Amino acid sequence: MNTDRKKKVLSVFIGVYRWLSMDSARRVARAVALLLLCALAITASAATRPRYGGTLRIEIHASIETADPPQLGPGMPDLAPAFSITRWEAGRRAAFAADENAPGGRPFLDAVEVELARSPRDQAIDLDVGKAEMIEIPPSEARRQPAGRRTWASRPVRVVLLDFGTRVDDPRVREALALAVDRAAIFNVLLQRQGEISGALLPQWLSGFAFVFNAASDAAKARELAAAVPAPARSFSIGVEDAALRPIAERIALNARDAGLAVSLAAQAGAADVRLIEVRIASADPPRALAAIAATLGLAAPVRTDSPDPLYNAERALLEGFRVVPLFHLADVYGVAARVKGGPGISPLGEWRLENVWLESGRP
Amino acid sequence: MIAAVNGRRAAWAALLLWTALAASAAENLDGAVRELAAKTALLAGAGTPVSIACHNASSLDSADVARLRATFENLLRQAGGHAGQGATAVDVSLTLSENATDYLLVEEARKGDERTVWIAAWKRVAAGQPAVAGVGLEKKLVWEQEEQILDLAISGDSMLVLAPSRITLLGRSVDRWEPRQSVRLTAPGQWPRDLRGHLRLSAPRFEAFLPGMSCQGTTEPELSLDCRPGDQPWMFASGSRALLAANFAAGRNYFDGRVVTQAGSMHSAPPFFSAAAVEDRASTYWLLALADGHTELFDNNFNALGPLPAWGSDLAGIDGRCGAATQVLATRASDGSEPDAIQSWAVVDRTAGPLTAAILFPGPVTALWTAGPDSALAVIRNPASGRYEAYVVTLACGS
Amino acid sequence: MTFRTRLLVVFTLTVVASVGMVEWLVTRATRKAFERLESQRADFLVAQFQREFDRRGQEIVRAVRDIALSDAAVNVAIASDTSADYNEASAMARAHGLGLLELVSGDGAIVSSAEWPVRFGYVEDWLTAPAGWKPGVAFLRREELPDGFTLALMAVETVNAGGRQLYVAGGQQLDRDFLSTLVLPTGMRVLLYRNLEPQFAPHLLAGTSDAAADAPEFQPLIERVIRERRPRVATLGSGAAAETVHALPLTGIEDNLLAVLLISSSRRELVELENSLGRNGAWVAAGAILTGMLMAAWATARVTRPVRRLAESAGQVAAGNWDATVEVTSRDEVGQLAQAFNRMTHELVEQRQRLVQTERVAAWRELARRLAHELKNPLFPLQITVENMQRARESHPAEFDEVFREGSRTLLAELANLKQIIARFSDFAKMPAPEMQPVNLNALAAETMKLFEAQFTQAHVTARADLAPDLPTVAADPEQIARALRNLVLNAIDAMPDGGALTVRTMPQGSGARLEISDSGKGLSQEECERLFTPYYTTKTHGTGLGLAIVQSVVSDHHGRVSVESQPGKGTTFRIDLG
Repeated sequence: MNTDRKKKVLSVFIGVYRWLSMDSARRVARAVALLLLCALAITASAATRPRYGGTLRIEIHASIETADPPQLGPGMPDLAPAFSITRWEAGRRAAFAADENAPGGRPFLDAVEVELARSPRDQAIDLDVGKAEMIEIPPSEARRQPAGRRTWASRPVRVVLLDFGTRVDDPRVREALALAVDRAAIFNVLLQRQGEISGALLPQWLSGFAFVFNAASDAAKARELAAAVPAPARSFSIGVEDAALRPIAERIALNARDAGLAVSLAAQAGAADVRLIEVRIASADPPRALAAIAATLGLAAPVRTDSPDPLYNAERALLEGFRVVPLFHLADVYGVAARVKGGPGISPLGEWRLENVWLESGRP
Repeated sequence: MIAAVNGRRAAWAALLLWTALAASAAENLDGAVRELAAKTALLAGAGTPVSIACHNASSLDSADVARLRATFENLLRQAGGHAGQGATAVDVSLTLSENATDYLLVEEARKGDERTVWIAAWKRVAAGQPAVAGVGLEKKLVWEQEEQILDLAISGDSMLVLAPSRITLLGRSVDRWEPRQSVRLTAPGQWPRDLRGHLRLSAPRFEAFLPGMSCQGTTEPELSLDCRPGDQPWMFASGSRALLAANFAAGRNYFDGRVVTQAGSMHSAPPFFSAAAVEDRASTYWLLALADGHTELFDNNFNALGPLPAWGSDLAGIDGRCGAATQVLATRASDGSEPDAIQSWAVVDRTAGPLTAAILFPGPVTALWTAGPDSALAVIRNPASGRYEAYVVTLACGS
Repeated sequence: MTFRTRLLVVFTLTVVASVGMVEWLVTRATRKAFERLESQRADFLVAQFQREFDRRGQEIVRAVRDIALSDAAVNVAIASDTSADYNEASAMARAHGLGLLELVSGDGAIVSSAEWPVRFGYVEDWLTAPAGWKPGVAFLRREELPDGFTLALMAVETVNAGGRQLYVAGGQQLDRDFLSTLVLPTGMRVLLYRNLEPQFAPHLLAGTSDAAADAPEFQPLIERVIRERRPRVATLGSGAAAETVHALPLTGIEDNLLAVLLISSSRRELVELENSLGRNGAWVAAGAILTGMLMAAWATARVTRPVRRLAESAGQVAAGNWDATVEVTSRDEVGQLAQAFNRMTHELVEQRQRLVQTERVAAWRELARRLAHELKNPLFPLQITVENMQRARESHPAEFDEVFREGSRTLLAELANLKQIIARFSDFAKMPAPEMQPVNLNALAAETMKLFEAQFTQAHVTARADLAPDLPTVAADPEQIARALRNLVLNAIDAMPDGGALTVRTMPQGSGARLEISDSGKGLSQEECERLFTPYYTTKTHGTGLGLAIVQSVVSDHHGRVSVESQPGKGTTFRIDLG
């Protein structure tokens, strides 16, 4: 920049400074400055009050191939009665519309669309590019989420456990497998430290005494137990129904091998000798939740009690003999787009509660 | 396990055990400790050293843990046992835990290869009502309750609180407001979500506006109410000079845009959540927080003049006692899930500029109405307590 | 076999042998040349394959190095918490086209494994061991996968960042898919036997096709290479399906034999070429032989025609037509031979005529001598008797009646003897044709032996009959045969004036029968044997000498054969073959 030009710029600065020294000028300038700053945000729309309108697009990984939409379980069944189903394409998508006469008033959203059978990776991409507003975040993807990604999380309501069939009838084998599983490694890596390690059926937040149940691995004792069992009894298969649990099953098979058990992955989960499954906590009432779990697993119904001590004993009795071996408690975690307001859209039990959810881009 | 315990100590132990077992549940931490200490004493036997480890897996603070250990050791001693270091016959691990409804004290006792678990629980209690106290600040908490506060109006020693299910008349007693009377409201069908309502109190008469319903009532001699379903426009003031009648969209949470100014002229505006009037160079301007998220400036004939800064969806106009003649209180742009803030703005030359720093609230603002010429009523929902809190917001000049 | 045929056969054999020899020599030489070329081709292909194999190894080294130099690898190396990186290896492996990839921390614990993701945390001691792999060098390794062990071509690089170390171990499985990516010339295939189990297992043989089915064929070669740890070349299969197989041992970094690489080059082309050569050669040879045979036939015909004529003429001569001559068509040896033959036959004819004349004269002389001899004997007594009667009439008339009676008796006896002699000559002259009927020679022999019993005793001859029980019947005139037999027996008795042994044998002879009469007399010389059947020839002092001639005549009429075998001092045996 040559000298003349420099002088011109300096003189402008001096002029402005003098002008700014004046009271009224300062005020106007401040207003102008603020106006300039605000102009940047002037196109942004934001409000504290919910807006009616819009379609919430949800993506899930489950592929539900039934002819009719699901009536039980978390997720779509929870949308009623605030939303009623308008379209069902088995294995592909479902559409729900807001019910004007819903209890508590018409939901803010006009509609909810649920896309089925989307892989976690595709879900994450769709959320990033704006094709979805709510996606599932499995434990393995939790720490990969970009900083600032909003999430809704339930309490740990999914119990991941090993359910032994009748063929593995030697309790030493079941105990050996229970002791062989390295929960910490699975939790740290495969579950990315999402959820909690547990040896109990009821999660800690529900019972308050889950920590009492042993969840530590003991490879030496596992080997000792396995060695005392005849070779044919040491071979059995493990099956998974949910493909998301398959890496955990594979790791369990590896741990079992270290203990001297020959565990192979079954092609069909139904034909496996032991299944790695998830059971949901369906009630916030601990005795009821325990009874529901027992019923799901085909165990004897526990004695109904409202006190923690007998409830503990009832749960202890269900876990005697290692017929079921709880491993982890996981939460339902959903990634949510920034324009989704009014959440969380899920309850502590993981039920979808979208009546009060609204979209920033919603139009009345 | 009771063998090898001498008579006196056995009596103490039995008494403690009976006391503990007689209760269906402990009522507090002390009761739980007592229950478990008795069982431990019976398990260990007299003179047997017991090692104690304490852990906290609850939201109780460390003071409770310290108290737990001290109490347990004391009770154990009373029951004939004693806490010891080094090689012990019984190892006890005490853990403070909790679930949704109870606190739990979980004891794991190991004696040789035998492991025993006992659990004692007591109910978790909700926090008590905080005292109403005026706060000599720009915001002043005047009332809080479980049910949503749609609006609140104060006149002298009377306060009316409009909630979705009732209108409550409160009277001031010393420095507290106490409910005096309450009248139920019967909704004409389903209330919409994000229910809104407005009170206009000219003691003793008042008007209450709700979606699809309007009520008229009096506070004297007793609270009475006459509600009729209808599409009657809501009347609300902005500051001391501006008044607007606006129709509320049925089943919604916004005004549908049909407005009537205090001059009687009818106009049509875009749907809006709230409105506030400002005076600028002898002209009246209306600021509308539109339902699409913008805030727009309109002239007195509700012709759009241009957008304004990104504010929240609640506006209230007040007379300014300092700075601009009229000022607008506006909530911060947010999504209603986080603590909100209210800031005062002045509009000069159709340009809004902040007059004060924002006042922070512990939760999102659910209602903001002009409460008087120079004050506004802000209702927030406190996510920590789950209760609704009503604040009077005034502009404190010189602060 | 005629001379022409023999000549033709000789010529044909000569042609066949020479053509065959040429064909064999040419084929052998060509096959050797092809084998040499094939071997060179196979060696070239093996070298080419090894270069390809090395190239793939270098590709793996490059890919692993690229991964080690990437920011992602550095981030994993320096991360204080690698639990979130357990899926990194899969993505890296996919991006760099590797089938196997492990990221291993400096202490040997797996951070991320593409081939076995859930094996994180397990320790790979071989990476941190002091000896073993070298960076930038691909090597073989036995890798464990979820479903068992496999063989892999691996490379390792180290990432050093921020004082931390990360091993990047990547590679490809050496399996059917890997082999199918190798660029191979036509007719060549590659198999890989992964030495992952103590015993040979067919399923460990990988190839681009169903290699397990070929495993038994390769098993001996593979086991040999494993045992000897040296490359081997072998030809497997036969015919067009044969293959030349180069077997190369592949070792890992611990000098353990991990695999046997089998590079097989099909011999189909060579075999088909050889077969084609053989076929063509066979056709050529067949043509040559055929041509040779035709030419040989023509040549032999040409050559043997005069010889054949000679032979025919000789045959005629042998058959008795001594007038046969041969046309002389050339001046060569054959022509000379023909001339000589003609001369010979002419001579023979003349000689025969002379001989016949001489024999006729000799026979007449012999007949005259015999007649004279036979007739002289009875005539002398006649003469004496008549003179005696004359003397008696003249001298002793009283004794004349007596003398006349005695003399008449003698005259009549001698006249009867003369008649008998004349009758015998007459019989011989007009022996009838035989009346054929099935005759059992054993029965005839037995009858004859019985007939001569008294004479055997009188002559002190021990007679024995050795008759074959399975003697077939022959067509013969029993009367004539019996007569011939009687003559032979009489001869035998006459040959043993002091007694001896006489044996009559019968035996089957071909489809007919043989009759033998043996005596233990003084035997005959060779000349006597030759003249024995000549009429009126006799070695006896008595008899007409017609006996054996009658025997010969009877046997000749029966189309049989009579022969004699004798040696002086050793007796004589007469044989008659009939049927």
